Order: sequence, then structure tokens, then C-alpha cells
Amino acid sequence: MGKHIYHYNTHAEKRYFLGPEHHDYYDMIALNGNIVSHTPTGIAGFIATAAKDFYIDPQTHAFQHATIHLKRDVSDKEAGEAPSYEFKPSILKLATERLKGPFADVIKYNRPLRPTDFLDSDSNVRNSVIEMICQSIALFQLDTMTVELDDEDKALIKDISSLNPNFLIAPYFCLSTHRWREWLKINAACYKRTQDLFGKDLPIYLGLLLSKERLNDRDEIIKAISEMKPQGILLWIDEHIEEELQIGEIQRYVEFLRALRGLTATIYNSHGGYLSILLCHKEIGGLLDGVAHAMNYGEHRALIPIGGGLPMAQFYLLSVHSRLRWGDAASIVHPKGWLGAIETYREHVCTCSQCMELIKKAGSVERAFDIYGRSQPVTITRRTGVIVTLDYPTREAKQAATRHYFYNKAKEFRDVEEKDFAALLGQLGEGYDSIAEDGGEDFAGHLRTWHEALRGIV
Amino acid sequence: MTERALVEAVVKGLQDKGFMVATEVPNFYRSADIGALDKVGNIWVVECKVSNIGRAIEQSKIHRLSADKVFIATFAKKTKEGTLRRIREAGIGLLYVMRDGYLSDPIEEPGDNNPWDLARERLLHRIMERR
Repeated sequence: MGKHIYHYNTHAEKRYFLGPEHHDYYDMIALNGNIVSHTPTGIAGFIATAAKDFYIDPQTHAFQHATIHLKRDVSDKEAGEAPSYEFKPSILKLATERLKGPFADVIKYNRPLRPTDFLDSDSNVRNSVIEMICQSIALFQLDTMTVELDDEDKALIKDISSLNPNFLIAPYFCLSTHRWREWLKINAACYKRTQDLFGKDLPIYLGLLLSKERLNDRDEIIKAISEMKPQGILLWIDEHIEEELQIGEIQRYVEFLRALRGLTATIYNSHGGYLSILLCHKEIGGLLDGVAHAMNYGEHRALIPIGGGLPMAQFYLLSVHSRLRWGDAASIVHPKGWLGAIETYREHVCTCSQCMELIKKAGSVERAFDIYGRSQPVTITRRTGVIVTLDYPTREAKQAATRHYFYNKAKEFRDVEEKDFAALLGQLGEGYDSIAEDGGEDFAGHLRTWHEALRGIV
Repeated sequence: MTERALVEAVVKGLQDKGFMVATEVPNFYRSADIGALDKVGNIWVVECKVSNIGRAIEQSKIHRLSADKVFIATFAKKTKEGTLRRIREAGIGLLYVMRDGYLSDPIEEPGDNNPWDLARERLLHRIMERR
């Protein structure tokens, strides 16, 4: 069965991970190095309570990009001060106290890592640097949570071995547009050295982070990976938005996975949606062994995230396997009459515990559905100087949408485990027909594309 | 000719026709340029666009969930047949603000609409609040 992995990105998400009713809805927790570095004892308590498999992403690639992405604006905007950027405290701690060496130099000299930090003028690997970062990054994953615990913490946690990750991730860097061959060489050196140093203790996974364009260089990348013989691969394709992929792009993705499949025992996609979950299906050889995402987001992720904008209420519509703006979801389900009788809602929209609780509480399907979009008005000044009032989702709406998402994602993994691949493909076609007929093409078009791309795969 | 001038002209035109009018009305996590109530109680939403009507069509579709009539308003000009067809297909109407600043009668009437009662109530409340 494909492992269902959740990224744990903020402590506010804890409520969704813990508790007996949630425990069986996912398999593994992905921790980011930043949060582990910043709040190790809090994370230790969380991991001990969750009692789930987990791993720690050391996020070494983050230091490869312009340092502005590691900083925050500390200016006093209300006083009209010009922007002033400083490294985020969590990043500062991660680089200087945990990862060290060239990562600490990024902070000290305020410049990103370059291949020449790891390769000499003849493009040979600087073994001493590789040795040092492999040591520090593996030890960061192994020890950070435990060394900061005091006796009281240890007594509470009882089984300290539960704080050992299931595998270690070797230092890794992104294979993007520029100098990716050099970074691939560095990744290979890091993987091999980490394997030599720590492979007897735990499985070592390769972080494979690449831009979509690199899928065109499949043969070269696959050859390099075959020489590494990785025990597992954690794949992240930059900004790989499954709903926007064309048939050829999906086929290229599938071919890439097929090539990787022969090289390693385990492949997890770090940021994937339902298309990737389908690719875990045993009838197609289980091209993936698991898929990760975050709580109500994170099914795709840009290497350099672009933030901004007010949050909007979202609703995961299972029939299109996609998070929609709540208003867009309403524009599909209301005209179709799916907000009428509860049986109709259960047949066409959702049967999850969250929806059923809301219907019971609200007294009708449409009032329950409305809760997912509840908002309070906020007034903002746009960059143009225009003052506008917009909706901002209420806490109740956000929590309901997250729980609804949580249950629906669990159902997707269960369906892929229990149903025939052909039946699941058939559902994609039916979903498209049902939604697209009334002008929902924008929201359902990807179902047809996925169906077309995958039907010849078995 | 700016979008602000366009909004002001539409607001005045609707008020002259006896409408109750509010501007920048939050609706489905967007801000409707104008929300208005006509004399018989129909809720209108009007999105004002000096250019790029195609984008306005996309922005306006969501308002059909809560308003009885949805319009795009622009300064009077020859609108391309393809754009008019897209407006019609989206069930949206079209208003022109004429050279002299007066608001035209609908160039295109919006299609029949069946808004969601709950959303309509909320929009009505917000128009009343902000008028």
C-alpha cells in the first residue's frame, strides 16, 4: 500500500495528527529541518505522542538560492521604515548550530552555496567538505531531538528510541536550470559518503529535487543514480502541479518513475496529489511507494515559494480530486442540486465525518456546506492605494475544511489500495463527465487528461 | 478614463434609477465593484472594467451564485462579437457608460439566474450594511 505521508510544518497543525480518531488516517510524518532545529523538545514530545514513522528533511537545498529567501523583513512598516531584511532566527540556528560548515558560511558571508564550495578547480569533489557535511547533517537528524531533552522530558517520553527517524536523508541540492550536472555530482558524493558512514545504522535516502525540465535529462540522471544504488528516494519536482500537467508531461513523469523504480526499493513523492497516489497502485507496479503533502495544502510546492495574498476558504472536492476555492466548489455543487437531500450530498459530494457532523449541527446540507465558507470581512489597502474589504475565513471554516481534507485524502489512499486500477480510471472519466457538462471544465479538465494519460499504462 | 470614474458613473446611473447602491462589496472571497438593489428587490452585481473584459467575465461568474443579475460595465465602445458571445454564454449582462457619463440600458440582458438562497441573503445583508 502507498504510504500516506503528512508534512508537519507548524505546531498549530498538531491537533490533526494526534488523537485516536486520526491515528489510522495516515502512515508517516515528514518533519522539516527548520522546525526540528528551532523547537526540538516540542517536536520530540509530538513525535513520541504521535507514535508514527517519521523522517527529517534537512533542507540543505534551501541554502543554494539567493539568501533573501532565508530572511524576513524586520522593518517597522507602521513607522514607514524601508524594508530591512535579517536571516530568520530558525534558519540562523539551523545553519550555524546544526548543519554548520558551508551552511554557516551562507549566513556569515550572506551569499548562497555554490558548486565551488564542494568542488575544486578541476571539478573534483572536495572530500573533506563532503565528509564534514555528511557527518553534521546525519547527526542533526539523529540527535537534535534527544540531546536537548532534560531528565524530566526523558521520563515523560519513556521510549527514547521512538525519536529515531526511519531513515536518514543525505545532503542534497536542487538540479535546476544552472550547473545541475555539478550539483548532481555533489549529491552523488554526499549520498555515497553518508551511506559509508551511517548506512549500517539506518537506511539512507537520496533527496532528488529537480525542476520539470530536468525530466528531459532522464538518462543522464538515472545513470548517476544507478551508480549511487540508493536505498530510497525522496522525490520533489519543483512546482509540479498535477492538475495543470498535459498528457505528454504525465507520460514523461511516469517514464521517469519507471526508470527510478529499477534502481531502489522505495520512492516517495514529497509533494503529490491524487495523480501520484494513483501511481502507487499495485497493478501498475507501484511506481511510487508513498506520497506526501501537508494539511490542506502542499500537493505541489515551488522550490522558492511565492507568498502573499489573503487566505481563501478552500474545499476539497473529492470528485475532482482537487482543492477548490470554496466559492468555486459552491458554483459546482449548488446548481447541480447536490446541496439538497443528505443522500444526494453523500452520493455526489462527500460522506466524511466532518461533513456529517456539520450537517447534523447545522440542520441542513446547505447550511453545513456554508460553514466551510464562513468569513469575516477585513479591510486592506491595495498597492494601488485602493481600500477594499474582502472575506477572511473564520477559524471554524479553516478547521472544518482541514478535517474534511484529512478524511478525503485518507479515502483516496484507501481506494487506491482496495479498488481495481481500471475502476479508478473509470471514476476519473465519470467525474469529468459529471462536472464538466455544466461549465465545470475549468475545474474538472485535468480528470480527462489524467484518464487519457494513464489508460495505456497497465 | 479610469476605473474609478467608471464606478462613479455606474453608481450615479443606478442611483438615478432608484437603486440602493454599495461599492466594494465582499462576496465569495472577492470584492464586487458594485452591489445594488433595484426597486423590486432584485440584487445586481456590477463589475466595472475599462479594458480586459475577458478577465471581468471570469471574475463575474462567481457572483451569479448570490446575485439575481450580474453585469459587466464598461465605457461605450464597439465590443467584439466574440466577447459579446462569451458574456452571453456566461449568463452575464453588459452595461455601457456613455460619453456624456450616462448609464445605458442593458446592451445585453443577463441570463436567467437561480442564486443560492443562503449566499443571496448574505450578499443582501452586505449591500444594506455598506450602502
